[in-house]
Amino acid sequence: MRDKQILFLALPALIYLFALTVYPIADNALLSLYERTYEGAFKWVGLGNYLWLFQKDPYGPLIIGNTILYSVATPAISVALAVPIALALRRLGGRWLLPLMVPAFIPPVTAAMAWYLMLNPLYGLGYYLMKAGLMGTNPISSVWTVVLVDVWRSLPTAVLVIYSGLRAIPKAVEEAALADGLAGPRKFIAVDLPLASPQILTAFILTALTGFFTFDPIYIGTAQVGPRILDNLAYYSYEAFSAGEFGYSAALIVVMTAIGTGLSLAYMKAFSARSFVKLPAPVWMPRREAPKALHYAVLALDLAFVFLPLGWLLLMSLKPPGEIIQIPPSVLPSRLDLTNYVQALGGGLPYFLMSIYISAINSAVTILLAAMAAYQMRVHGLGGGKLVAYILYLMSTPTLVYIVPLYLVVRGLNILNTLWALVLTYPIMTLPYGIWILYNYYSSFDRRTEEAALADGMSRLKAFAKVVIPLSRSGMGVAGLYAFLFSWGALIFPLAFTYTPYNLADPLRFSGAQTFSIYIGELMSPVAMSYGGVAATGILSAIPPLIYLTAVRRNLEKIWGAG
Amino acid sequence: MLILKDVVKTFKGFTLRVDYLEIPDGRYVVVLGPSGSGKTTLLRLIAGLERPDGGSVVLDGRDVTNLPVWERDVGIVFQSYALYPHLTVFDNIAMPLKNKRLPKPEIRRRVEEIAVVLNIADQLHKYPHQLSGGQQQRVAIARALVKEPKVLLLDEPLSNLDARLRLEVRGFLKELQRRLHATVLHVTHDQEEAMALGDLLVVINNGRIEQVGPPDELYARPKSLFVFQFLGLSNLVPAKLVGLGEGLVGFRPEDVALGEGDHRAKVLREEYLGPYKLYELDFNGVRIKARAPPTAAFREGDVVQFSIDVKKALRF
Ligand SMILES: Nc1ncnc2c1ncn2[C@@H]1O[C@H](COP(=O)(O)OP(=O)(O)OP(=O)(O)O)[C@@H](O)[C@H]1O
Ligand SMILES: [Mg+2]
Repeated sequence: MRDKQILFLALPALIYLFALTVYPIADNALLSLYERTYEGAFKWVGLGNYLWLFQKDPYGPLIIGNTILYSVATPAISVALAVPIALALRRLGGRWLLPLMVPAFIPPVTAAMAWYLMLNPLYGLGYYLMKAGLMGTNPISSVWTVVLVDVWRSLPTAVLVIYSGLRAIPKAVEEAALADGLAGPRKFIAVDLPLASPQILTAFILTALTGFFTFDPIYIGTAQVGPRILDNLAYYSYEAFSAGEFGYSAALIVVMTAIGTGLSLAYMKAFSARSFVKLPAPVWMPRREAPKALHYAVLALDLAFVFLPLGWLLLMSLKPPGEIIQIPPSVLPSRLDLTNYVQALGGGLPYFLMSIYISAINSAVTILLAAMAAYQMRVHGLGGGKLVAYILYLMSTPTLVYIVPLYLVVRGLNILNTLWALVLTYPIMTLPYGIWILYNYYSSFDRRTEEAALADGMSRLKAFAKVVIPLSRSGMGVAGLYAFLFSWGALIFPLAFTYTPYNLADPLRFSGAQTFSIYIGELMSPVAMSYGGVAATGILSAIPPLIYLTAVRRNLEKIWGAG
Repeated sequence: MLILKDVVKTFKGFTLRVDYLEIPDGRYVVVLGPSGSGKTTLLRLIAGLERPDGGSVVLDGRDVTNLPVWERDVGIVFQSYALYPHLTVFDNIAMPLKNKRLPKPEIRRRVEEIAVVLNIADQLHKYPHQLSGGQQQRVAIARALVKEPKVLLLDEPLSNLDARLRLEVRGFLKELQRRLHATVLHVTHDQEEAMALGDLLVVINNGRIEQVGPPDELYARPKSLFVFQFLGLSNLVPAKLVGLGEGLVGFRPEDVALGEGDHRAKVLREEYLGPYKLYELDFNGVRIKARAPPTAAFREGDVVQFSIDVKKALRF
């Protein structure tokens, strides 16, 4: 290390990350060997918790079956759909990418809620689907609805990754293929598919991670149909945690961490792989190019898939309350009515305020710490490849893994159910992503700007603040978008660390810290039956990220390579 | 024989127009022109990677204007080689034959044959990223030649090679063409490369063919000022200065004899180039270049007499 100040700048982010990720992962392993008694003491049970899951727990087979279904069906369907969509994008131009990406920017709770409202067999489009015989079982209690929501949420990522793989095929190779007699579907099999195979694999693993750790759709679905129907390991471990069975919850999380780590390692391997799948050149396949109309049809179908639940949500939020619960359900509101919004803003105000506070604070903290660390990592090689790999690992590890140990920490610090609990924990989900985005951003950064500033007599700290930061605005904007997105849509941390809404009677104590994602869950229960209010809350919750998205669109398209 | 008739291709702000161009069989033809003159476009039109807005491309009496690339009997070598990174050298070379549904033994025989010609027979099991740039290029040439095309198209084949390798590959290409009696169309912006290789040069400028002919003819009897100035070093002076009437007169440095003659000029600069020296002179306010034996000893600032070989001078 040539310079202490290099380390100094990166230190806050690195200390934070190591302290708040390594400790919980280790502590989980320890906790999983204990059982908490009714008196609150921890009793050593050895591998008892694990044996319980695989041998005795009456729900064990259901949980494991659901987990496997979610982690296999989601990537299989997402990738199968993403390939034709990516092909259509390549043919018709990347400007179609932005609308297709919208699901990735909607808070996951909102997405799940929109689908459940739409598929509702009494008050939603589900009524007509069942009547027409298109749907046999009640979608609310079907595990396939969870898969559907996850496909909707993860399809944009799969499309983006595969599209970038197809675009990376050099134009000259495509033309050489033409000269060799490869065109249309035959070229697709012999050239495109093999050359995009690392990206296809990457997309598969990323969407498998989404399916494996899926939580929000089950949270919403369970609010409607009750527990132990849709549960997977992730949701079940949260339930164990909230029932106070910390040891069992930790054991479930250790199992998940092990599997998730396997997937993450596979992801990192696929990510850096330069080896291609080889497919035979099938001479029997036609060489006719698929007509443009077919590509347009694919895009149109995807757009419909993306906007159908959101459109339904919007229509619903604008209906007069009397028209929301009626059989058969109406599609269009008889008149536009803002009652639902009044209700959402009235009851939801403390939740929205808290979401805004924490998202703003956490985005700012993330951008700053991430820039400080990422710059030193990229430009000065701090930490080398190992640190980069650890950041990648954290990115693919969901926050659920940390809840039990962090709950104990937060409780120990006496900040449970306050804004400070969220401020302390939120960077865990956003900092790795922010560092990764900026790490890539700084790869094209000219380090001589910093050297010139040093030559002018500035210290490294000053050079960073006065020269590097102002020049990183576009990269920080994108990192900020993701930080905001994750903070805004977060569900697991607020569920774990808060239990009452923000107390507006004493606003400066910032105690009571539930976020709107929890509010949505509460409104979704059949007891509340406040579907109009929840629809309006959903629309409101989608607005800030979409505004942010449009604001940094140009920078995003640069990163996506769609411009 | 390849014939282009009335071919027109327009891009935004650029038009390539070929009224008539004939590429005879078994010759090494070089298309030469400055950057952006339309050389690549011409090649791509012949290959079928670009469709002309009008006109026709006829190969051995067959109108191929609207045929797909792979039915045209042309082989293409891309500047970046464009090998398939996921396939071995063997499979790269075999790809065009596989798509012609040739039987396997025949494919193997022909791939091995062409690999011997290109001196890569021991590389067949490797992947492209395991080869040097020169070897990759040979694989690309083998892939283009293995289908025994009627024309081989090369777009700037030497530009990705370092200076030493460039000379070597240049000789190799010409020998290969001679050995196989192939018809080669080679595109370059380097006039020295063009003159060294071409049996026939096609000089193209701003989307128009300026002149077609053997290099010595183009050098000695350029039909336009552009061709005169693009090929080799040139001098251009007002005709009045040398007593040849009105207009401009062009002549080569080697057609200037320094030491005696009717004209006088001041020596500005001397360049020693090994086999000869090149002088830059101020001739009544016009800069001209003259070639002299390496033993010549004019000094900067001297005023020298010289004569011009009027028989070889060109009027523009
Ligand atoms: N696909 C295209 N779309 C638009 N313009 C094009 C296209 N291809 C070529 N052009 C234009 O046509 C002109 C000729 O291009 P071309 O590539 O044929 O030149 P070139 O002689 O090969 O030049 P260079 O020596 O730089 O390779 C250029 O002005 C180029 O911008
Ligand atoms: Mg070119």
